[in-house]
Parts: sequence; structure tokens; C-alpha cells
Amino acid sequence: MKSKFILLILLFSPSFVFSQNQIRKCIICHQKPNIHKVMATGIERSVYVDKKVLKNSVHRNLKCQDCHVDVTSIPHQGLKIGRVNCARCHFNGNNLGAPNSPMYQQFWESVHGKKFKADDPGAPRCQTCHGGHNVFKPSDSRSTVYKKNVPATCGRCHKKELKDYSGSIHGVAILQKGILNVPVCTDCHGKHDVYSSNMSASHTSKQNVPDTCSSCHDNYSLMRKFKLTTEQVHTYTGSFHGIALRFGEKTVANCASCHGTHNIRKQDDPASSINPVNIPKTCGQCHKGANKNFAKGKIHLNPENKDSGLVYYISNFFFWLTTLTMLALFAHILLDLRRKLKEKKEEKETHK
Amino acid sequence: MTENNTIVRFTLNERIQHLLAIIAFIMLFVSGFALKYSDNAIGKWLIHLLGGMENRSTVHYLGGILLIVIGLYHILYLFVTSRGRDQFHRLLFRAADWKAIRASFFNLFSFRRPAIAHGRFTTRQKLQFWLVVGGSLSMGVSGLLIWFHDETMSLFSKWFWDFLFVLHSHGAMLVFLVIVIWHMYDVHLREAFPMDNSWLNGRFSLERLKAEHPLEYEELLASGQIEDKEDEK
Repeated sequence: MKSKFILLILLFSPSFVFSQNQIRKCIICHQKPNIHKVMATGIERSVYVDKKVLKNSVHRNLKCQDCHVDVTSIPHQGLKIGRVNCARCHFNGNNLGAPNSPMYQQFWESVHGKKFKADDPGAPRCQTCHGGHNVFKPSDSRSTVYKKNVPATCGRCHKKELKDYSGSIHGVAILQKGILNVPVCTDCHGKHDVYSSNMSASHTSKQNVPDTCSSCHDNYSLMRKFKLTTEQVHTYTGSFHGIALRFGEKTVANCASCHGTHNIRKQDDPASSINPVNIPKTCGQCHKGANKNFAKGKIHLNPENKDSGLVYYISNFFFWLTTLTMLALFAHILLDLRRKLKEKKEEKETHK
Repeated sequence: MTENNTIVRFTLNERIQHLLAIIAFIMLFVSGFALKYSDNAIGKWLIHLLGGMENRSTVHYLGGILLIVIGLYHILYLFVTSRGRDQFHRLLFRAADWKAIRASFFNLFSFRRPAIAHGRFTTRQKLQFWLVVGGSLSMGVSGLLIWFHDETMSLFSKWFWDFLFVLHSHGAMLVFLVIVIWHMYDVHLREAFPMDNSWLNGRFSLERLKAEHPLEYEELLASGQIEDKEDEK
């Protein structure tokens, strides 16, 4: 029995040993916490690899050389080792186990991809957001692109935006209260398809902002969780601003013009752009001479809703007035037409 | 005055006023209803036809200016010229008109129009005139206040502007019904299908004058401006 067991181990060990062999060799040096290389610019850069993290990452079954293809011998003194090229596996239509999706191509057309192609040193690569050895699935809370971690990941470069977002109603909800149903950077801006807001393809372009916001704010069951209504969407699309925007006007207000972008806050927050105190300033961006009277009355007004007060009653009054006038008018015309036809008939008979 | 058994019912000046008012109304109705019904296909088509939202606004503003100018001119015309003053007096409601309205309600389902002798303007025409006056006045005032929205909202409030907007939008529908449907039926389609040419050449036949405006006919006869054609025979 014991000999059989040893035989079994011996039979399977080669594959086990060989697969881990390369990692084992590399990790001898790279597991030392203070290991670093000196860049051409003179900056020291850590090349430490946390074995535990790597073994749990999505790439746990790959060998070091699968990504670090420049390393052809160990030790690798004198070899020029370039950046890892993720696109060796991550392209649409691959059969190497990487996800198949148009996102890889989207990246090259995005604002990040374009800057990267233009050799902008600040432009992010795959690794900048997804991590190097610590790549996890986005649904894994250890991932840098896990929903809750996205603001921090983007905020490494976009510092002001992160600061504004952290104080906003969306930011407080996810970062402090842990509510995952609120938007993070990528929900509004897109993931690989992130464009500059002045490009028409962008999710945050002037024409697309209402669609982007309404992807949540028009969702009744989602809004109900936060005791919000979906009426804001319909009252905007029915308003002059909304209609003009739909027909291509670029100077009219969209959601973000009044509510802000990263710093969206609740109306009762004194720092909110839609707090009645701040309304003159917010409306004043476009409407010269805006004063506190702009805050008197509802902005998202639905004349069919009783909350609208006088406007509701006037609207109803006119509905009935118009309906009754129309009925009376048509009745009058039809009754009179009947007379006219009779008159004509009699006229014909007398002429005969 | 008479020519081929017709008289001049509307002077050239009046016909030009009427024509310009038609142009203003068409501009206003087309560009206004394009916005009111922008969520359906007809509204969308109208906005594209007008060349987008900015042009739509411009057309509406120009139509509004035209209507206000004509309205002011018409007020001057009615009070300054002797012809205008005469017409204005004939447009006022008299006791006979109230009787005519009562009679028409009592004879709603009868096969004959109540026999009421009308003068220069029938009660229906007077009603249409005053509805157009009221409609233009309320549309003009609310329209100007909506146009200068920043000033209106600063002086009054946001809800007052909303109130004006609802008033303007719904009021326009009423004015449209009265002018386009009632007026078209009553003075054009009913008596002279497809239209009464007097809005173009100003002329109105004596035969129709005698039938539809007997009091005016008698008045003209008495003053010697026309001759009874039956006498000629």
C-alpha cells in the first residue's frame, strides 16, 4: 500500500515540479522584500513579488516567462527587460483563457489609449489599473478594479476628482457606508471606453449625460431603495432644457450643469449646488441676473403632479376648458352642418 | 361702389392686416406646436423642418413680433381712422347679440337657423373677433414674459414663469381651436366653399349680403350706396 502511494507520487510529481520550477527559480531572488532595480533615470524601483498574492491571482497557473518574455536565462544580468505586453493573450478572439471582449480594442480608442500611443508618460497601461502580480477578477474584493476600489485606483492619478467624489452623495455611500448600488468612476465614464467629455462618443458628453444618469435614476426599483423618484428624468426630458438638448443644442443645461459632476450632493447639504442658497449662483452660470427668486418653485416640475401647486390646477383647468370647448365646437359645427345640408337640399328642390 | 353686383366689404388696408395676421399665426402655431409636441413624430419633423431648436425659437419670436406690431397697428386703426371707429362700433356686443345667443341655444337641434337679422357683423363673427383679441392679448403678454425669462424669474419667481408657460401652451390650443376651426368653418367653408374670396379681393356679393347681413343691406340701400337689384329687373 505504502509503495503504491509512493509510486503514485512519483508518477505525478514531474509535472508538478516542472510547472512550479520556473516560479521557484525566479522567486528565490524576487521574494526578498528590498529587491529593486535602478532605472535609467536613476530612480530605484522595487521588483519584489509577493508569492502569496501571485498564487491567488487569476494568473496563478502561468509561468513568469509567460508574461516576462524577455527573461530567457536566469540570472538575467545584461538582458534588457521590457514592459509586460498583456495583449499577447488579451485580444478579442483568443483561445488562451483570457476573456474575449471588444474592450481591448476600446482601450486604444479611449483617452487613455490615445495618450499611451502618443507616448504620454502619465498615460495608464493595463497594469496601472489592473495591477501586475495582483490581478484578480473585478468581482473579487481584492481586485484594484473591484467596485469599491475603483475610486482609489482612478484617484491615484485623478486626485482632485477623487477628493470631490469622496464628499459627494455617491462617494459617501460607497466609501463610507459600503452601499454598492451607487456609481463609481467607471459607471459614468466607462471602463475601457473612457473618452474625454467633449467627444460625442463619451458617456459624459453634454448630449449623453442625461442617458448616463438615467441608467440608474430611471430605474424605479433601484431608486425606491433610496426613497427617490424617477420623476426627475421625465420632468427633465419634458422641460425646455431637455427638449433642446435632444435636438442637438449644446448650450442648454443637462443634469451635470446644475447638480455637478463629481461633487453631487443632496439638496439640503449647504455645499450642494442645488441648495436653495446656491441656486442663484448655479442658475447664474447661464441665466444672467439669477437671484433668490429662481429658487421659488420646483425646478423638476410635473404639471400633472399635485405637488406643483397652482401650476397643477391651472393645467387641469385648461385641460377641461380645452376639452369642453372642443366638444362644444364640434357639436356646434356638426349641428350646423346638418342645417346647411338641409338648406341645400331644399334649394335644389326649389330650383327644379 | 357696386360692381357686378358686389360691394367692397374689406378695404385693401384691412385685407393686408388680415394677411399679415395669418402669416404671424401660421409662424406661431407651427413653431409653437413643434415644441409642445416635440415628443412625437410630427413635432420632431416640424423641428427638423424649421432647422433645429434655435431656428424654431427665432421663427416663434419673429411671428410674435409680427403679431404684436399688427395688433398695435390694428388698435390704432380702430381708434384713429374714421372707418376703423365705425367698424369698432359695429363690433361691439349689443342687446340683439345676447338675444341671438339665447335664440341659438333654444334652437340647438332645430333644422333651421333662428331667423335673426344681422348687421355688418353676425354675432358669431363678433365673438370670433373678441376671442382673437383676447387670445392675442394674453398670448402676447405671456409670450413676452416667457421670452425674457431671466428678467421674469428674477422679478417674480420660477413658479410664476412655469404658470405662464402652462398658460401660454394651453391657451394657444384654445386660440387655435377658435381661429382655425371655428372661424374657418363659419366664415369660409360654410357660406362659400372652399373659401370666401372677400379676404383676397374684398368683394362680397349683394345676394349674400342681403341673406346674411340684411340690416347692413338695408342700411346701404337707404343711404343710396347700392341699388336693389330686384328693382333693376
